[in-house]
Amino acid sequence: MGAKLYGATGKVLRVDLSQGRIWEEVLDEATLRKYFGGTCLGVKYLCDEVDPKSDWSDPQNRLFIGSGPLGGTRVPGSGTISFVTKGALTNAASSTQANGFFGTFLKFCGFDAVLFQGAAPDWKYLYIHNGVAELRDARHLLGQDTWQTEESIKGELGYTERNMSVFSIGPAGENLVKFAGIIGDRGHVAAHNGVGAVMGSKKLKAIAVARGKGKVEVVDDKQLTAIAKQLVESARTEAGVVFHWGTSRAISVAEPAGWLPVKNYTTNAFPEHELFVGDRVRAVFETKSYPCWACPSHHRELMKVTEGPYTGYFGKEPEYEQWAAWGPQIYQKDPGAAVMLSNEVDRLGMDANEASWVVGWVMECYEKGILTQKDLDGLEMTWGNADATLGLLKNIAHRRGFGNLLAEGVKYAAEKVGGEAVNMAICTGKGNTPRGHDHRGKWWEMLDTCVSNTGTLETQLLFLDLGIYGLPKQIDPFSWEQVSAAVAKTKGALQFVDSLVTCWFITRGDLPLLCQAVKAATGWDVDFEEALRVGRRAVNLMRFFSIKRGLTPDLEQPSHRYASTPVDGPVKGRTILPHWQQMISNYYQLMGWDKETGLPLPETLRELGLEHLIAD
Amino acid sequence: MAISGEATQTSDEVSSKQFGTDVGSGMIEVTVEIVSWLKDAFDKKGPGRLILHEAIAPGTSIMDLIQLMADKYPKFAKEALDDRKQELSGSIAVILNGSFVSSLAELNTGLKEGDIVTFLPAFSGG
Ligand code: SF4
Repeated sequence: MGAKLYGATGKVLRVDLSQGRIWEEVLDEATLRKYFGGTCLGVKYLCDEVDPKSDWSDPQNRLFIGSGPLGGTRVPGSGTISFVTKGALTNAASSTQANGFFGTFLKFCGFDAVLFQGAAPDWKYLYIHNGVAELRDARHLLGQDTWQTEESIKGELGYTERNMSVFSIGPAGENLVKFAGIIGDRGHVAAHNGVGAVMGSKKLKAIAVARGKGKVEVVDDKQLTAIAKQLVESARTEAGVVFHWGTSRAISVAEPAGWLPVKNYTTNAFPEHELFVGDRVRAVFETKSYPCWACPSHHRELMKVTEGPYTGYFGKEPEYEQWAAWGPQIYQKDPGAAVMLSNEVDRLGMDANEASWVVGWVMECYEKGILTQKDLDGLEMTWGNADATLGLLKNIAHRRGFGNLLAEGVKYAAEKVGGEAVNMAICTGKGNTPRGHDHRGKWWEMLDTCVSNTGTLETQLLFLDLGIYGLPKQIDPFSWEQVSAAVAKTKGALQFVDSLVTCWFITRGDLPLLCQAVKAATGWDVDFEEALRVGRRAVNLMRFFSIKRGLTPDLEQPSHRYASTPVDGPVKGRTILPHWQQMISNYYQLMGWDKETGLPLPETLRELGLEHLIAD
Repeated sequence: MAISGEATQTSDEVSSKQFGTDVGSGMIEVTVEIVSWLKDAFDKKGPGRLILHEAIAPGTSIMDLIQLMADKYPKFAKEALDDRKQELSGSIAVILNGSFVSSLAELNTGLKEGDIVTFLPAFSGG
C-alpha cells in the first residue's frame, strides 16, 4: 500500500457497462502528481485506452467524469466535475465541465473519478453511495427530461434536494443527438461536443451520487480555509460583477462592444438587449439564490417568469450565453420566452450554443425560402418565433422529421441542404461551433475555437492577470500577433483549474493562489510554471489524440459566415481572414507544434513529460 | 403580454462645463457615453447610457480625456487607470464614433468637435 494521500483519494471507480462489472482502480501518487485529476487525468485515460481512429459511439470509447485534488474541499466551487471522452460532434477529444455538487459528493464517497467503458445491453443508471456503487435498471426513466430524471431518482432512492447529485441525459442523449449534453443539479450542463450522445450510446441514463458521510482529508485545513476565504474575497472585490450578478450583466456590454450574436451573425444591432440585462430581469422576475458547493456568490439563481406569455414558467436563470442564444441569435425579444427556451433545452438535454446556431440557421434559411414550412414539418420558423423554436427543438431531441437531420449539428445539416445554405452556417471546419458570442468582435475566441482540441473554447482570458503570462495588460483584440500570442501563452491555465477541479468564475483562474491551495490540500509543492505545464500536458495529449484521429490543420478554420465581415456595430468592416494564416502559424510556433501537421514537436512532448508519445 | 418593440433606451444626460472652461472660448465639445456597469463609477444606475457633454481643448486625445475624467471622477479613475494612474488598467474599452478603438496608438487620436466617445467595461466573458 502506498503512502497516505491528502486531497485526492487516488481511487477511480471503473464501470464496464457491457459486462455489468464495477471495480476500484488505485492510482499511485506519482501518477496523480503528474495528471492531478479532472481534465488532465481524464485525457490520460482517453489516450491510453481509446483508439483515436475508432468511432465515438464504439463501446470501447471511455466516458470519464472526474473531480480532482481540490474537489470537495473548502475551496469555492470545488463540486465541479470534468467530463472527458471522444466527442460525438467532432469525433475527437472532448473536455467539458459542469459545476454544482457532484464532484464533492463523489469525493465524500471515496472516489476521484468514475470511468465508464462498454455499452449496457439495456438502459441503466449508476448509483454511488458510501464507497459502494451499483448499476440499476433505468428503463422506466426513458423519455424523462433531465430535471424529471433527477427528481425521479432522488424520489425512488429516498434522497432530498441537497443530499444527492444526479447528472443525466434527456431525450436528446437517448436519441444520440450529436450535441446532447449531460445535465444535473438543476441546470448545470456539461454541454459540449456531444458528451450526452456518448452517454446515450452506452445506454447510461444517469449517474447518481449520494452525499455520504465521508470528508476530504487535507494536509493543512487552517491554511486551506484561509486561502478559500481569500479566493472568495478576491472574487467579491476584483470580480464583483460576476460575484453579484453571475453572467447576467454581460449582455449589456456584449451588444455595444459588438460581440453579441444577433440574427445568425447578419447584424450586430439588438437595442432590446436592455430587456435581458440582469439588473432588470432580476428585479422583474422572481428569483431565489441557488449556488454551488462552497460558493457564496450570487451567480446562480432559480427564476420564475412574471410577465409575458410564459408567466409562471419556473426554471434556472439563463446564463449570458443562453440569453444570447434564445434572445438575439434567434431575434427573439421576450426575456420570459428566453427563460423558457433555455430551460427546455436543458431539460431535453442539449447544448444551448449548438442548438441556437442550428435554430438561427434554420430561421435564416426559412426567411430566404431555402427551407419551407413543409420542409420543417409544419413549423413556421420566422425570426423570434419562440413556440415554433420549442417545436423544432423537440423534433431535434426526438430525431423527428427534419429534426433528424438537424440533430447532426449545423455543419452537417448545411452541407446536406447545400447551395447558399452552406455559407450561412456558423461553425469550424472540424464541425464544432462557437460559444454564445459573435467572435468577429472577439478574434481571440475565434482563433481558440478553431484550434481547440476539446470541441469548445480551450482558453479563458476573463480575469487573468496577463502580465504574469508575459503579455501586455490589455491586448489589442484585432491584432493577429497579440491575439495569437495571448491564446498560446495562456494555454493550459484553464485546463489546470479543470484538473483540480474547481470553478473559474469564483477562483478567477488565479493560478498562483490555487497552487497554494493545492499545497495546503495535498502537500505537493506546485508553482505557477508547473501548474501551466499540467494544463498544457492535457492540451497536448488531446492534440496528439485528435491528430492521430485524422485532424488536419486545414480544418482549423472558421466557416464563411463565422469569419464574415460585420456590416454594422463597432466592429463594422473588420475582417479576420486576411490575417488567419499568420495567426495560425504564430500560434503553432508558440505552442511548439509542427507548422505543417499541427502535431506537438518531440521537444514539446519531452518538456511535458510525454516522451512516450514520440515514437507513435 | 409579450415584451416586444423598443427597449428602454433612456439616457441620463448631463450637459456641463466639465473641465472648468466654457465652450465658446476656443474649446470644443465632445459627447461621452458611459455604458453598462461602468455607470456605477458615476453613481448612476438603471438602463441606458449615461451621456455627458464635455468641453475640452482642441488637440485633446482620447487618453487625455480619460485622464481628465479620472481627475474629476475618482471612481472612474479606479476603473480606468492602473495604480499609478498613468496607464489604462485593462478594465475599460473605448469606442470612438461607433468604431472600436483597439490599439494604444489609436488612443492618442486627437478629438474633434462633435466626436462621440463611448467607455464600457472591457468584459470578455459570460
Ligand atoms: S461562481 Fe457560479 S458556477 Fe462557479 S461555483 Fe459559484 S455559483 Fe457555481
